[in-house]
Parts: sequence; structure tokens; C-alpha cells
Amino acid sequence: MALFELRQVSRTYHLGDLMVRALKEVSLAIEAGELLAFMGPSGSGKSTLCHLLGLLDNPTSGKLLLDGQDASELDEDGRAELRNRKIGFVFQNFSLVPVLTALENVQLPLLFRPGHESLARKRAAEALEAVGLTPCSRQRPSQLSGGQQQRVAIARALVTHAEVVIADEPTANLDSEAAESLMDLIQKLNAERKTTFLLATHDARLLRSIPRQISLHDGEVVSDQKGARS
Amino acid sequence: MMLWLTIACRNLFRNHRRSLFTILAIGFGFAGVTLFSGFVHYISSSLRDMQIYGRAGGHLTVLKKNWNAPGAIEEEASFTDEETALIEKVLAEEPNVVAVSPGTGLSAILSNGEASSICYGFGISPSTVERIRNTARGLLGEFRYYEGDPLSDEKSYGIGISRGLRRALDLKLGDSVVLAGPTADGQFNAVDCEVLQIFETTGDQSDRSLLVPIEHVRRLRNSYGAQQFGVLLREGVSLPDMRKQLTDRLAAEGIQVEIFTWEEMSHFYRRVRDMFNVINRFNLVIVLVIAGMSVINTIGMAVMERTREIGTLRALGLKPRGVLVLFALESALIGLCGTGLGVLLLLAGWLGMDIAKPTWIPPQINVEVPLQVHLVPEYIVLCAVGVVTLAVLAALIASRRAARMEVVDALGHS
Repeated sequence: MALFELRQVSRTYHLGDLMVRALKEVSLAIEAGELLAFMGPSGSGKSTLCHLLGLLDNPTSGKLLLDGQDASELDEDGRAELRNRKIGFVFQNFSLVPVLTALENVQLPLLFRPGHESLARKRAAEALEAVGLTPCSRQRPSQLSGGQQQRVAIARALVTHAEVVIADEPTANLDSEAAESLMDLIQKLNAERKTTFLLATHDARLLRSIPRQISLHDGEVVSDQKGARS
Repeated sequence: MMLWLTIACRNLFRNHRRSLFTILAIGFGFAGVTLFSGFVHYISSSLRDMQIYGRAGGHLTVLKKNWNAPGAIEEEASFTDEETALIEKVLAEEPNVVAVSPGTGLSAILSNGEASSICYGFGISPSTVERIRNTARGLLGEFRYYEGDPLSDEKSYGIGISRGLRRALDLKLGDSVVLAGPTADGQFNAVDCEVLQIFETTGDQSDRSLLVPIEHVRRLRNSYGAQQFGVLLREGVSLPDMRKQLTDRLAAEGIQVEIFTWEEMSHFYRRVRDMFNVINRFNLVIVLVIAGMSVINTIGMAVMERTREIGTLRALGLKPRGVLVLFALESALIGLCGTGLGVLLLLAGWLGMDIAKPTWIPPQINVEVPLQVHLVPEYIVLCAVGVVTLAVLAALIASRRAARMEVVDALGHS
């Protein structure tokens, strides 16, 4: 059974009288442990697809199954619980809580689970170690570089032992060196932990090392290349 | 929970200027309301003590049943000589009764030999009144009720007159006067008196009042009876229970009575209390509205600025009610800090008044008395709980839209 299965999924937005079809009847399956990139120009539907896969948004039509479960049958609390348990997020602008230290930021997702408070600190320290940021654990986001902040975001995504990490333009605000280092980390985690990584990007530096690449254009899948790693 | 508190605390410092002004608004509002309430408590308790101890009215007043029935004449409202003796005996046997002060009203004419004035007199037992006044604590225990000498059982012709009577008849201490009035059987009688003291009248007393030892009133009225009995009880005794117990006990002796509490007997107390309660509530509403609006504004701004952050937290698995809890906690902290500041300001104000000892002349009396503010712990706690609750409610109002927002909309907020 595929981790994600999309059946004829569409997403339409209404901007006043204007109707924008961000995704048009997209069907695809994503297996657990994949490293996959959604590519395409701005407005192609990459972010919309990431939002749907991350259960942050609902399809206008079609079905989205996560581990065989129809996501549209869940209420908001159920979706929040499922996100917390199975999905990690890495955002373009890092999205760390500025008043918390790196360690506290990483603890956050576990604190949303009742009874995990004592475990949170230990697991957060381990996650920070996995991304090589133990020395920075007491620093706040403003004291970290862009690359370090994005690593903290990855640690935060991994702290729950999420099955899938969805990263929307994770290297957009990073220089080449930091982007390459981040990609190495993603590949390492994918290989060692079998964590599924879904990246929305048009960064050519990333695409070179991603085995499955799905191209989108005007909300439609125009190509799905497997074994594309260079 | 600690991390949530940490987030709330750090977010307060994130916009320290805005948080500070909200805390100041709550603190000054809290101090204003509790200081004024402390003043109201001082006024209320002073009036209560004045009724119970100062006027020797006691906690309960025993009157003849139907004493104020339409058309009842003075004699019908008075206890007979035998009833008076029996009531005094029954009350003396009751362990919760500390003192019993018999009293008799008297409509009379006071003359200085050249001029006369109608007046309303009241017969009292000087020794019992003195005993009841001596049990008063605090300010009232030190209060001097009159100018001149105390009335006494022995010198029963010595009377006290109000300042109004003194002015009307141009009297001074030591002057001899004649008190004339009806006897119990409707004849006219007069007795000689000497002005021993001049006292101030309060709100519900006639300006032309006099106090006369009850023995002298009985001499004038040619009757031993009394119209009422002020009953001083031990502190803490339930007045409704005691009222019922005494009514039943006296009824068993064949005496039908009506018993009133000190509060029911003092119209002036009730009027003043009701007036201050209205002012107090008015102040409270103003302060709550200002504090509530400040909190809504502060939290509303925080919600606006942190909508993306809320989106991130929601994406990580925070449920909508978690967003409400987050801001409610932050707001509760603002409320607590404001309350803490308010308590400090209240204590500073109270201490300042205790050191400065300001005085004032309250309405209805012409004596300068200390102006005080009481610290009322239960009211302070009630206000603190009210402020924190209000802060939490204000936060819920301000953050509910953010909690309901779609995660993607929150993430895309700029």
C-alpha cells in the first residue's frame, strides 16, 4: 500500500469572482521511503500539492489517502493529530518560533502530544545531534545562520520520528554551500532512517541528487521521472 | 506546561512596551477599584459600628408587634411595665446576648424659660450605652460622641441636646431647661433638666434631638415601660437565627414582638451603602472595560503579528483550541502582572494614608474624622480573579479568529 495515494485530486481557489484551478485532477502514488521532488515554475501547483499532502488543506474534489485512510474524513483535530504523528514540515522561511531556543523549537511537536513532555527534551537533543547542531541548542533563531535554522527545522520535523517530511522550497533562502550541505543531510536521513522526503523546489542544485522528480505545469503533472538521480 | 509558560513569558517581553502599558492600565485600574472599595468598606463598617455601638442600637432591636400599624398611637407601640420587666429577664438569660439597652421615644417641648422648641427625645440607659460603646473597636472605640460630660444613671436629670437644639434655644453646657411632654395616660407633664452634653446628629436623626436618661423619661411619662430594646450580641452570632430564637422565646412568654436587624433599623446606612455600591459598580465597569479593551488590543496585535507562527504551530500538530490556550496563557500572565502591580499600588496607597493620616468631615456630621481605606482581602482576591478571568476572556475573543483560520491561510499571512 502506498504511503500517499492521490486520485483525481483538484484544488480550486476563489479569489473574488475569479476561480483559480491550482491543481487539476492529479493522480499519483508515493511509496514510503521515497526521496521525491515536485518541480515547476511559480504557480505550477507545487506548494498546493505540498499543502494537500501535508493535510494542511483539503482537495476541492478527488481523494487523498494517507496509509489507506481518506484524509477528507478527518475533522480538524484528527488532521492535526495525524500531521503531528506522521508528517514533518520544513518551510522556505524556516518558521522557527523566535522566542524559543533551537532545542525548545525542536521539542515543540512532541509537546502537542499529551504525556510526551519528559521525552521531548531527550528526543530534541538527539534530533539536534542528528543534524549536527548540538553546540547551538541554546541559541535562538536570530543567533543562527540560515543554514543552521533550516537544520533546526529539519530536526523539528524528525523529532516525532515522522514517516514523511514535506519541504517547501527548503533551499530558497540558503547560499550554495548551505543548500548542498542541507541536501546531503536529507539524503543521509532518507538513506539511514528511510524517512520519506517530499521536496517542492525549482532549485537545480537539489534536483541533481533526487531520484524521483515530478514536474507540474499549470496544476497538472506533466512528467514523473523515476531513477532520475544524476 | 513549562514550555508554554516560557513562550507566554518571552512573548510578553517580545513587545515589552505594549505589554508594559497594558499591565500599567490593569494595575492602576485594579488599585483604583480596590482603594475605592476599601474606602467604601471603611464608610460601611463605620456606619455599621455607629448604629450598633455608637447609638447603642445593638445587633437586634426588639419592638412590639404591629408597632407601626396604621393609626397606632404611641402607647400601643410601647411595652407595659410587666412586659418590659419580662423581656429584660428573658434577654438576660440568653447566653449570646452581651447587653440590652432599653429605649423610649418621646415627642416633647424643650424650653429655656424664654423660648421653647419642639424636639424628639430618646430615653436611654446611660450605663448600658456606655458599656456598649466601650465594646466598639477601632476608630469608633476612640470616637468622642459629644461635647461636655457623659450622661449618668445617677444624675438622671442631665440630658444631651443636638447642635440644632442648642442653636434654636441658644443653650450652653450647664444650662437648666424644662422638658415637657405627655404622660402614658395622656396627661401633660414637665420635668427640670440640665444640659450635660451637646452631640452631633447623623443622617437619619432629627436636627432637634435630645438624649435623656430613661429614668427621667419614665418620670415624665409616669410609666416604667419601654418602646424598644437594643440587643448587643456576641460577634459572629447569626442574626436571622437569633432573631427567630428570641421571637419564639418571647412569644412563649406571651409577648408578641417584631425584631429587626441593625441594618433594617438604619435607613441611613442602607442609603449610603446603596449609593456607594452604585458608584463602585460604575467604577468597576469603567475599569473592566478599559482593562478588557487594552488586553484585547494587545492580544489582537500579537495575533496579527504572529499569524504565520500560529500557522507553523498548527502545521506541527497544534489543535485550534491549543492556539486559544497559548494566547489565554499569555493574557492571564498580563492579568497577573497587572494585578501584582495593582496590589503593590494599593499597599502603597494604604501605607501612604496610614502615614499621612488625612482627615475629613463626612456629610451629615460636623466632626473631623480620620480618612481611612480598609484592606479587604476577600475583595482583593475577588478583583484579582475577576481581572485574570477578564484577561483570559479578552484573549479568547482576540484569538478565536486565528484559531479558526485555515492553516494554509495562516502560513501565507504577511
